[in-house]
Amino acid sequence: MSENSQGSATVGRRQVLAAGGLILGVGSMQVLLPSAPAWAQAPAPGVTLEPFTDDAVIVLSGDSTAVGACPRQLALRIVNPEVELPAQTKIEVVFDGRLYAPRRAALLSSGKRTVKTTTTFTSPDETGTVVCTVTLDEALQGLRAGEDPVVLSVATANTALYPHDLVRNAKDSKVTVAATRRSAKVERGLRAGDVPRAATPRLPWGVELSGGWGRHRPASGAQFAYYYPTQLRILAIGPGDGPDATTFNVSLDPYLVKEVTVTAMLLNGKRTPGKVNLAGTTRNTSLYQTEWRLPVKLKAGDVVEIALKTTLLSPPTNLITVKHPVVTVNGTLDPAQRQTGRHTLTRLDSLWGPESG
Amino acid sequence: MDAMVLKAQRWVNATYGSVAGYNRCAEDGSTGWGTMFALTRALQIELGITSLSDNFGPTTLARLTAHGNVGANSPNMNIRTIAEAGLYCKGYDGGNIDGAFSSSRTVAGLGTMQDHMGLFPEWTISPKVFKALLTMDAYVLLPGGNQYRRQVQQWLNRSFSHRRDFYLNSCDGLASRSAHANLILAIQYTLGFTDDSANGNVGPATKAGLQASAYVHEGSVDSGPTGWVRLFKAGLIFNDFDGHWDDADPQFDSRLADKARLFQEYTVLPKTGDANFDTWMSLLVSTGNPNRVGRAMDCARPLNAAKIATLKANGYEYVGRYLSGGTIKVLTSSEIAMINDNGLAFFPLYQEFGDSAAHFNYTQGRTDATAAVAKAHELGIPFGTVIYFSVDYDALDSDINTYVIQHFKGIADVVRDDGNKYAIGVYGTRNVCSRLAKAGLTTRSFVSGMSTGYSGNMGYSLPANWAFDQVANLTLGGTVESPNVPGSIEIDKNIASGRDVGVTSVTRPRDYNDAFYTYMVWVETRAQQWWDQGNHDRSPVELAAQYLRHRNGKFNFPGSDTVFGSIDEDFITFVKNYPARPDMAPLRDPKLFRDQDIPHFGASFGAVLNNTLHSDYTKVSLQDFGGWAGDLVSAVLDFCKTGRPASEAYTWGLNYIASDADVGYFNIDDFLADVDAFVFGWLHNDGDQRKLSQFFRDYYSTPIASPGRFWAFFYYRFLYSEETLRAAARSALFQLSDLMYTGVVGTFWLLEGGTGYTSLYTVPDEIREGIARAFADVVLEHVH
Repeated sequence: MSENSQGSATVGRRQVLAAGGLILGVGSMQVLLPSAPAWAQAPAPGVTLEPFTDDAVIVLSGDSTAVGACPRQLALRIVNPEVELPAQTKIEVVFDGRLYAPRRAALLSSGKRTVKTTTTFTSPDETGTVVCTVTLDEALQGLRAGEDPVVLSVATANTALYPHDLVRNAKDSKVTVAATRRSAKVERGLRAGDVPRAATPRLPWGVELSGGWGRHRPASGAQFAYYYPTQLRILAIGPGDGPDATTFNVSLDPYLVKEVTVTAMLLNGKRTPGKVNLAGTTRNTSLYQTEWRLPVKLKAGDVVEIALKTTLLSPPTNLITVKHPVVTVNGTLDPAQRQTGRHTLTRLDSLWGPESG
Repeated sequence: MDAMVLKAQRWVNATYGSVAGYNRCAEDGSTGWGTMFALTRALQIELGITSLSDNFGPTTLARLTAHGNVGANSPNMNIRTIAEAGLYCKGYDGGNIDGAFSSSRTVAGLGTMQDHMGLFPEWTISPKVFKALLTMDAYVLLPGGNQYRRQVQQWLNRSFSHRRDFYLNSCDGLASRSAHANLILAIQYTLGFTDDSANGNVGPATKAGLQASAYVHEGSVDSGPTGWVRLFKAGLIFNDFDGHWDDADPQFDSRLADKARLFQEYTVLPKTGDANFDTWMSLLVSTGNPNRVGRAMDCARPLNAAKIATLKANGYEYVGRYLSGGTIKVLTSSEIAMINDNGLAFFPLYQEFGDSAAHFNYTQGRTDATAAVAKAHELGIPFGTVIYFSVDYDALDSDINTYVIQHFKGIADVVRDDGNKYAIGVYGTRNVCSRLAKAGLTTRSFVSGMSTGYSGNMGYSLPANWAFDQVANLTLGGTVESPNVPGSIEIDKNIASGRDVGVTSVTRPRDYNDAFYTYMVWVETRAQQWWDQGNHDRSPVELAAQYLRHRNGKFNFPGSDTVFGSIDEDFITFVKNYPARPDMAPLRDPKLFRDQDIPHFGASFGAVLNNTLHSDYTKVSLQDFGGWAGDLVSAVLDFCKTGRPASEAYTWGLNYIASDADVGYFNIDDFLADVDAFVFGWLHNDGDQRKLSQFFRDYYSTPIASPGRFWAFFYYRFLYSEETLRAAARSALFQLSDLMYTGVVGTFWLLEGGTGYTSLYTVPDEIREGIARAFADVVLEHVH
């Protein structure tokens, strides 16, 4: 983690940080003065930290069937009624860098007001721990009746970690606000709330989808282009085995595609008994969608290759809108399913005359 | 599974599921394109758009702009809810997905996303941010991403997204076409382009602007928060050079100059360390400055002496040529010899229909590699040489995963099974080249940089193992390549990095007839083309022979078509106008060291195909007259012209027939042509599928093989019988039973004239007997 320092930006409105829905998870914030005088050690209740923790994000480990969690936001409200936090007060947020995508600089704000701060990020060890130190560049006035407390926003859970999304021994976060002349040191863990649990715990598993496209080339209409999937490749990325049934959808424009069929399937390069079954078809004026079910349960490392045959329709001259082609390997609501972000494919570069939408 | 994504999916389906044109998304808690498109259509419904589309296009943007920023105080609770749902789909906190938008969570989540986008927090969602919200773009550093690239992506968004056509690019640290296009837009804005003229493409105006305004060097300083120094730095980072970014740093310092020199060295530009035009172009476009000097080229058509001379005169050192493929690409040993003899190196390419995804799979990879390796062995290409296999289309990442990598695994397996004698290279976009190198499947890359608009080039840096970079298509030695302008040649100009030294010699011993084989294959390929175009009056083999016959015009005379077959003049014209004809080279007998008469062969071969042998092998027919029998009549004719006594006919005939001296119509060149024409024609008529070029290779490659055709001549024509041979030779000069034969002989005799005899059949028997006997003895001499 590089060191980054930046003053806070101006906040537009005041009302944004209304109370409610803000729950801290595990973690601690620490407010520190440059040198802590003896009086600072005395208890001085008056600063309360309220982390945002009720919105939990699943954290999976590669060698465990347990489903962990972390708060989606590394943020908290600082409730300091009548207690001023002076300039140079330090707030320290310690978090697991494997889980969070930090802001360029922490933001301490309330409604239209932004408190000037300086943020530094350091990595004190090689475990991935990150320490975000926010130093107040101006005093944070004590909260008065009717005012919203300031919110400190540091990071958000990184949901796009794949293929490094399996995190062993994820560390909890904490926030510490150092003691000041009028307040004692305050520390608070940031632990997430509950997350969905599977009925039967299992090792994390997932799929990765890729595919190739054919181009719809009508005899006329140089400005026209539409793509349709010709082949799919589904990789079971493990480490656990997949569900009993893997399904995928192929969604296409109903005015441009008459029919899609699966013509062949290979499992690990070989033909297998059974065929990819059509599980459902939807056809209306805006969508032609087929759902397909694989005949095999995917084990970690399995590769399924599927050949598709698409019967095309001539593009209508008055096509004013388009359904982009989409292939998606459907999710299962299983908490152990890894979020690869690679379970869906599309192409956005179709050309279909007068652009709409 | 993300519980809030699931909640978002359920909400949008429940709210809009009954609206015509809305497509339900899967309720599975996983963000995918289906969910994003559902949210897009939901937004369009709220904006009053009736023709719903997955596309967040101009109409949606305009309506949303009219609606205004979306936030806690904006009208339309559903639009606010859609925004909150989108935030969750992006991975950010969107509150309770209830449109309240006033909770601290939503605002903090939005603020963090805006921060990750590089923007300053605004607490409301602008139309452009909303458009970005409904994509799968990431704004966090993704695995494999570069943090400095991400900082540049953020800086671009922050600095230029206020301009009309600048849409927010992803900020994930990965190479991206959209971010690269945005960098070009930023340059155009800096050049003063209006919103109407800036388009994200490096066109003439942008080039002119770069030349006139963008030169910066060590010591230069940006005067504001943006400027040429930062743009140059951004370009270096987008090309994976430079490991530092600071918004606040306006300096072109010595560190940046060093990075510029490294980039220039990498791209084979003069190492000046400054931001000159060529360097800008190499940063922005996959061709770089296409007008810069290139030392390498590749071309689809074979090279001949004149074209090679043109290449040398223009400073080219490396020649890319196809090992096989198609109807016009073939590389031959004679071409290799010419290339190497002229001090050039060549690098072998392989391509068979590799211009769409459908071509690529593991099995096809094996097939391609098998053919390429076999050809490389045949040509004696030294072990260790890189063979470049083509991926000649704009393969997307998903294509590469699904098709291309599997294809190259097939190639790799075949090469490994062959003992790893050849290295595997690839011709393709920067992304294809990099991905295959990263997968360990290739060692060198030939980059199709000329396709600047390809998604696999724009935004991607040159692969680390690049050997050649294709930058321009041009014609040398004339304005267009034409068979009428010797030396004119259309090429693709390549920049050579020096990572591939090419092939400067081959291990296969040189065959004196290589150049003829090259020529012959080219003619045959034209014949096959002509056939493929629907001209089926004559077989491709006969067409090829007709072109040979036509070469010097000696075998087109009144009545010639009766003997040799009627010529297809349209085909002759077709071939004459076809570009890149190899040099016409001689065909030398490897034992006798004498050249065969090629046009004569073409004519006699036609006679064999268009006539039949007499059922009695001691008799002759027009088939014989078109070859050896006609030449034997010529020999009588020539003897008569000498005025020598009849008693000398035999001795004269022995010295005349198949003579090394260039006399008359039946010297060694003619004799070889007659023998070859009959043998090859007989075998062809018997069903042998070999092309003429293969027949020639089989009989002309070694001194051991070459006498075989005399034996075959004796066997097939004369049944390996001296008696039949002598009888047939006599028939050629005495036979009167075949009116067609005697008619043609009579015509020929009259046309030549000057013998003192009104016809062959009035020539004294002693002369004819002597000549016939001499011919038989000459044949037997060659057989034995």
